[in-house]
Amino acid sequence: MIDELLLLAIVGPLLLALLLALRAVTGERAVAYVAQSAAALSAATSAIAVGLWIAHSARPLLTPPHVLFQHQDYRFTFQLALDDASVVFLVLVQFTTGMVLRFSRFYLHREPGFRRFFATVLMFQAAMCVLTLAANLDLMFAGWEMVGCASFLLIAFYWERQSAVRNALKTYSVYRVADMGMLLAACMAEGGDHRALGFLLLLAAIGKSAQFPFSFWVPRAMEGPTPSSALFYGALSVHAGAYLLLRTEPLWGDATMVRVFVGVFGLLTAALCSMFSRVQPTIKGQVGYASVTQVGLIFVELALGFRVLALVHMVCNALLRCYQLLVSPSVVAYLVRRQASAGFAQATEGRSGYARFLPEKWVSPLYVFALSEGYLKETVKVAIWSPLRRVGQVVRPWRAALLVVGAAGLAVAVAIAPRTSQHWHVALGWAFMTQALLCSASGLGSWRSPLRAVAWVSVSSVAVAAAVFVISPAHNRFASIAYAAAVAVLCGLGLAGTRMVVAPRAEAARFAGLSDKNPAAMALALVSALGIAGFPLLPTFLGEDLLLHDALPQGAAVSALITAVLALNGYLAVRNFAFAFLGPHQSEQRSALGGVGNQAPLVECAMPSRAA
Amino acid sequence: MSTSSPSVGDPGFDLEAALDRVAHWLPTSGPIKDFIHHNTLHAFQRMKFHQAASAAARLYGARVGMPARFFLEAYHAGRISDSALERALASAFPDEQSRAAARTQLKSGTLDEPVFAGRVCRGLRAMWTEQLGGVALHRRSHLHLFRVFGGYLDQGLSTWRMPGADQMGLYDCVANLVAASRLPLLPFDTAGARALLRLPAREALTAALARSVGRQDWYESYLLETLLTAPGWSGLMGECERMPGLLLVPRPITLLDCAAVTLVAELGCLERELGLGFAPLSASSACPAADAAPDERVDRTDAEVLLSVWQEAFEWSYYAPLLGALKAKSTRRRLPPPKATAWAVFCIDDRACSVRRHIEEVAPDIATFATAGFFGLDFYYRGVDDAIAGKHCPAPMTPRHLIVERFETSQAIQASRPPPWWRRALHMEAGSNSLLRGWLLSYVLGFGAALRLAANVLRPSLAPVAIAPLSTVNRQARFKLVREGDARSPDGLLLGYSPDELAERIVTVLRSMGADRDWPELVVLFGHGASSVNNPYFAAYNCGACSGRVGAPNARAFAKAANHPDVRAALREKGLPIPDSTWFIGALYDTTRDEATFYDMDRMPARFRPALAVFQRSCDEALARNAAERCRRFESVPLPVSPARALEEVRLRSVSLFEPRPEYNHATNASCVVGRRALTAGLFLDRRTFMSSYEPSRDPDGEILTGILAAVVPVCAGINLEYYFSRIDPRVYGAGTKLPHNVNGLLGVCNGIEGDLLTGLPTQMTEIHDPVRLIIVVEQSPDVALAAAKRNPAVFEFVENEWVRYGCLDPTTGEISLYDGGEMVKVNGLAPPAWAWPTSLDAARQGRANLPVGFVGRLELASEGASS
Repeated sequence: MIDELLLLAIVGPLLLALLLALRAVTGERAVAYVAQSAAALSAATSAIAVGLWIAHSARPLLTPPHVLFQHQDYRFTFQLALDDASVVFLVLVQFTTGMVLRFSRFYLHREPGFRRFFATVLMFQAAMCVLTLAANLDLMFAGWEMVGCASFLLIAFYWERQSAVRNALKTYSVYRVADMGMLLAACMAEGGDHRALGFLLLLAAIGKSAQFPFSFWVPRAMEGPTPSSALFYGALSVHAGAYLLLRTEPLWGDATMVRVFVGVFGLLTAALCSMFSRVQPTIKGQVGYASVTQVGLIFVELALGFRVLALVHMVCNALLRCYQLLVSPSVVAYLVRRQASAGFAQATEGRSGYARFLPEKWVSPLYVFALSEGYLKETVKVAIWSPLRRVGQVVRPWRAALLVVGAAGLAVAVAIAPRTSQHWHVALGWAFMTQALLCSASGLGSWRSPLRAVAWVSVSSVAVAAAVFVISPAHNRFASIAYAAAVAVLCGLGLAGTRMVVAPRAEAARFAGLSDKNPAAMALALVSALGIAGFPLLPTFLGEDLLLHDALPQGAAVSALITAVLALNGYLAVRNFAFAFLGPHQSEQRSALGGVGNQAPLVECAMPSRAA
Repeated sequence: MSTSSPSVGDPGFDLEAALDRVAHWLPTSGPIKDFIHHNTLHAFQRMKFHQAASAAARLYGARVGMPARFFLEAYHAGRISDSALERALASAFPDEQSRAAARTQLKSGTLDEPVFAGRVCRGLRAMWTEQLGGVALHRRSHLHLFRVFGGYLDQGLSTWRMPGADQMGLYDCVANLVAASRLPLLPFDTAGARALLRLPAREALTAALARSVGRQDWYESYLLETLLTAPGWSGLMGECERMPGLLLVPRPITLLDCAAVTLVAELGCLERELGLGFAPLSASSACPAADAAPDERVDRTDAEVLLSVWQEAFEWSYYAPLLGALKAKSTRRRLPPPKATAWAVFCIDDRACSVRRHIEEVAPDIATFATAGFFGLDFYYRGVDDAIAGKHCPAPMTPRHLIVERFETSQAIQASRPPPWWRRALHMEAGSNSLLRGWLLSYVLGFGAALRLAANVLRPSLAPVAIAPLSTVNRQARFKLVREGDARSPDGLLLGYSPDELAERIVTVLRSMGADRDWPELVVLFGHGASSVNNPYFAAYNCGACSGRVGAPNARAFAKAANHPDVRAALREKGLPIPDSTWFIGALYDTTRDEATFYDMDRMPARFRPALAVFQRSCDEALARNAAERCRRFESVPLPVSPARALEEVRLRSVSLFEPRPEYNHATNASCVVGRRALTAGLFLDRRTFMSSYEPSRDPDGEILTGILAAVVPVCAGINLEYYFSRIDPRVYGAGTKLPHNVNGLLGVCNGIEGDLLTGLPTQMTEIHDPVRLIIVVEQSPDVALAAAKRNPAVFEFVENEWVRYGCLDPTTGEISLYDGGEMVKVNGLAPPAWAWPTSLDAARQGRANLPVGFVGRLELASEGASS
C-alpha cells in the first residue's frame, strides 16, 4: 500500500509535468489547476503513506524492490526507503513545493513562461521525491540529475537575458562536477571501499550544496522568478547535498578521514560564506550566502555525528530561507522604516559581527576578500576550465587527424579484438579515452560553429563507448553498444535540430537566440542535450550506469576518466544548446546591441570579426 | 582627419563640463524608496515628441514606439477608427498619392520594425573593442564593478560596509582599498590600474582616457558611451550628485568618480586579458569624428514616420470621443447644483476619477473637487517612522518649511516601538544571516517562517507581514503646524508655518478650485497613498504630487490649518471668511485597499459628528463600488463582482505576499481635464482622466490657471510619459518583468546579483496601459488658455513640443480647440458619445478592456432622452 502511494506521489507530478511540457494543457487557469492538483495529489499520497508508516511501526522500512532493468549482474532497482530522515525531508519537500506552487500561481499571473514554469516545478517535485525516498544510490542519482536539469531550466527561465543563461550554465557546470562524484559512487556502492565512496559522496555533496570551493554559484543562481529561487536555493536543492550525506552516513560513517573532511569543508564554508554574506549589497545574494553558511554548519553537525540535529537544522534553515527569499522584495519598505526606529547612524555605519574585533590593518584586506567572494569563482575557473581550454587549443589544429586515428583505431579494435590479449585491450581503451577527452576539450572552444560543437560532443561520446567496448570482455559488450546507439540517435537529433537553424559552416555568436527561428528545432536540440547529459527519462541515463558498471572492474582510474568525460560531455551538450538557442531573440538582437542596457547590453557589441 | 597625439592632463579638455553634458543623457532615477514619475526622455524634451523618440532610439538602442503589429491589431479590433487614421494620414502626408501609398502599407501589415543599435554598439567603444579583437569589455568589468558600486553606495542592506565609504568619495575609497589591501581587488590589481589609482580621480580619469581613447575630441563621446553601458548605476550616481539629499546614508558621490573607477577597471580588465601592449582607439585612423550629443535633426526613416502615423491615429481614436463627450456635456442645459452638505476634495490623480463619481452617485448632496494632492502646502515632513524628512510637494518645488511629527501620549510611543527581535530576525534582519546567531536563530525561526508563509499563502492577512499598512500608521501621532516665532531646523528650514502663510496657501487652493462660497458643513480632504506588501516599487503607487509619498500629512495639515482660529482670522482678512458652521477634516484614501481613514476626529466639535457619520457611510458605500469598478481590470477576479466581494478582493491583494499587482496604479491614465466638475460629472471616463477643479469665470486673465498648470502638467505628464516609454520598450526604458528582481542596496532593483540597476516601470505596472500621450483640456477660452500655458516655460515646453496635447473648451461657446503649431485650432466634427449607462456599476460590468467615454447616471439618461 505504502509502496503504491509513494509511487503515485512520484509519478503523478511527473506525468502531469510531461503533459504540460507537451502543451496538452494551455491557458493559465487550466495550467495552474493541473499543477496544483498534481502537487496536491503528490502531497496527499505522501501524507497518507507517511501516516500509514507511522501507524505501522515507524521503523525504517524498505518497499518491495522492482527491478526496472537487468542485464547480467547489473540491476536498476526501484525501491524506496522510509525512515525518520526521509520522512521528515519528504514532508519538507511537499510543504515547500506546495506553498511555492500556490504562491507562484498568483505571482506568475500573465507571465509568458507560465506553463513552462509549472512544468519544471512539477518535474522538480517528482525529482525531489525520488531523491528523498530512494533506497539505493542508482535511483537517487536519477532524482539528483532531474533536480539539476530543473535548476538549469529555471535559472535560465528568462532565457532572452544573457546573464541568466550564463549563470544557469555556471550552476550546471558545478552540478556536473557533483554528478561525477554521485555517478561513480552509485556504481561503486556495492562492496566498494568506504573511504573512496565517502570522498565521492562528499564531492557530490559539496557541489550540490554549494560548499567550499563551489559556493559562488548560489547567489548567481538567483536569476529566475523569486519563487523558484526560494524553492531551489533557499529551500530544497541547496540542501540536497547535505541530505545525501545524511542518508548515506552508514556507508561512509566509519571512515574517519571522510568525517574529518566533511567537517573541514563545512567549517570552511560556514566561515567564508558568512563573511561573503555580510558584504553582499543585494538581498538575494545575502540570503543565498547565509543559507550556504548554515548548510556548512549542517556538514559540521553531520561530521560530528549529530544526525538529528542536522536534520532539524536542515528543515529549519530551508523554511527560513525560503520565506526570506519570498518576502525579499519588501526589504526596501521594511528597512527604510526600521532604520528610523533603531537609531539610524549606529545601525548603518561601522562593522558588525567579528569584523569589530579585527585589527585595523586587516579590515581592508578582509573586506576585499569578502567582496571578491574569496576568489572562489576565479579559482575554480583557473583550476578546471583553463587547462581544458588550453588542451583544446592545442588539439584543434589536429582535429582531422584525431578523427582519422580514432576511426582507424576502432576498425583495428573490432578486427583484432578476438585475438589479442587483455593488456592490448586496456591500452586501446586508454587511447580511446584520451581521444574522447581531447575531442571534448576541443569541443569546449569550438562554440563558434554550433554544428561543429555538437559534432565534437558526439564524437567524444562515441569514443567513450568505444573505449568501454574494447576494455570489457568479449561476452559483455552490450553496454557499450547500447550506449553508442543511444548516443548516436540523440546526437543525430541534436545535429538535425541545430542544422534546422544554422547553415553547415556558419558561425554564430554566443547566445545567438535562435529559438524563435524554429521552436521544433529547439525542442529536438533540448532533448538531445538532456540525453547526452544523461537525463533519467532517456536511455543514456541507464547507458552511463552500464558503461561504468562494465568499466569498474578495469580499475578506478579508467572509471574516473570515463565519468569525467561523461560529465564534461553532458555540460558541453547543454552549453551548446544554450549558446545556439538561448539568448535574446534574433529580432531583438540588433536593437539590443547595448541599449540603455537596463538589461545591459544583451550581446557584446563587437562580435569577433573572424570571417566565417 | 587630424591625429593629435595624446597628452596626459592636457588643460585643453574641460572634464567637468564634458561630464555635465554627458550626465544630461543618462537616466535620472533616484533611489527607489522615493520613486518619482518623470519623463523618461526628459533629456530630449526640447525636441518635438516624435523626433525625440527617434533620436533617443538611436542613442539608447530602444524602440521608437509600439510595434506596427500592435496598432494593426487595434485597428482590426476597432480601437483605431478609420476617421482617426485618415486624420493622422492627412496631417503626415499632404499629397493624396503618398497618402494612399502610406495607407496601403499601414493596413497591409508589411511595415518593417525600425530597429536601431544603440550608441554603445556602433560608437567609438564598439570600434575600439573590435580593434582589440572583440574583447567583451563592459561585461568583464561590470561583473566586478557593480559589486564595488553596490558595496560603496549601499543604504543599509549589507552589514559590513566598505571601509571609508562614509568619509570618502567612491574613487578614493576604491584607491584606498587597493592600496591598503595585499589581496587583489579585481580588476584593479594590475600594475597599470594600480599606477592609475595612485593619481587623484581627475588625473586618473584623464590619464585613462588618454590611454584608451587618445584623442581629446573623442573623450566626451567615449565617456558617454562608457557610462551608457551601465545606465542604471551611472544615472543614479549622477542624480545623487545633483541631489545629495536623496540618499539616506550620505555618500559623497560624483559622476566623475564613477567614470574614473569605471575606466580604470576597464583598463585593468584589458591589461589582464591583452597585457600592456594594446593600442588606444586613436591608433586606428578609420574612426570618423564623433559628436557626443545625439543629433537633434535626426533623419527619421519611412517606417518611423508610418509608425508615428499609427500612434497619432491610435491617440485620436481616444481623444475624439473624449472631446465629443466634453463638448456634448458642456452644451447641455445645466440645473443649478443643489446645496451641498459636504465637500470631498481629492487629488488630481486618475484613480480619484472613479471615486468622485461613485461618491456623487451614492450621495448627490456631496460635491467633489480635485486639486494637486499636496493641497498647496509644500513642506518637508518627518513622520515618526521616517529616518529623514521627505519632500511632500511636486518634485520641481523646493519647500522652505519642515513639519515634524511626534507622539504625544505614552501609549502611542509604545505602539511605535520596533517589533521584538525575533520578529525582526525572521523578516530580514541580518542577525539570521550571521554565522552563530544565524545558527541559533534558524532553529528557532524555521518553523515560525513556515507558519507565516502558510498563513499568508493560504489566507492572506496583515498579521504575518511585518509592515503595517498605511491606514494603521500614526493616527496617534501629532505635529505642530503653526510655528511660534521663526524657529528653524539645523538645515535652515522653518519649523511650521505662520497663520498668514497658511491663509495665503489656503486661499490659493480654494480659489483655484472655485470652492470659496456656499460653505457646507464638512469639507473632507483626501490625501492618498497605497499600501502594498512585497513591493519594492511602493513609492510609485503613492501620490505623484507629493513626490511619491503619502499625501495624508498634507491633507491633515490643510484641515488643521483651515480649522485654526488664527488662520481663519487671517483668511477673513484676505476676503475668504469661512463660517463657524464649517469644519475641515483631513483623511487618507488608500488607493489599493479602497479604504478611508479620517484624522484628528477627537479634535472635532461634537456638533459635526452626525454630519460626519453620514459622510462616512456614503464614503464606505462609494469605496465599495469603486472597488467593484477597479476589479474589472484584474484578470484573476471573476466577473461580475459585487461591491462587498470586490472590497474583500482588493484588501486581500494589498496584504498578499504573492501579488505582484496590488493595484494597477496609473496604468490607464490618458487625459487630464481642468475645469468645473459640471463638465465631467455624469461622464464615465473609465479612471483614465486626471481632473483638477477650476472655476473659469473667476479667472478672466488665466493667472489661476497658470498656477494650476504649473502643478498639474509636470506631475501628470511625468506619469503619463513614464508609463508610455516603459510600455513601448520594457527592456530599455522599463524595468522588464518584476518577478526576478533583486533589491540592491535599498537603491533600486536589478536582475540576479550581477545586473545593472533597472530604471523605469516593470511590465506588471504597464501591461494594460494603452500608450497614448496625455491630452489636457482646460475649461477656458482659447486665448486665455494659451496665454496661461505660455506664462510658464516649463509647462509650455511640454505643450509646444507635443509631449502632451493641450486643448481648451470655451465655457461660453462650448467649442473645443487644440494647440497646434503655435495657436489654438478649433476642432470640428466631434460627435457626442454613443454610450450611456444607468450607473457606474453597469458600465463596469462591460468586460475588462478600456471602455468608450459614455454618459452615466439616471439624470444623464433622462436628459439624453430629452435631447434626442
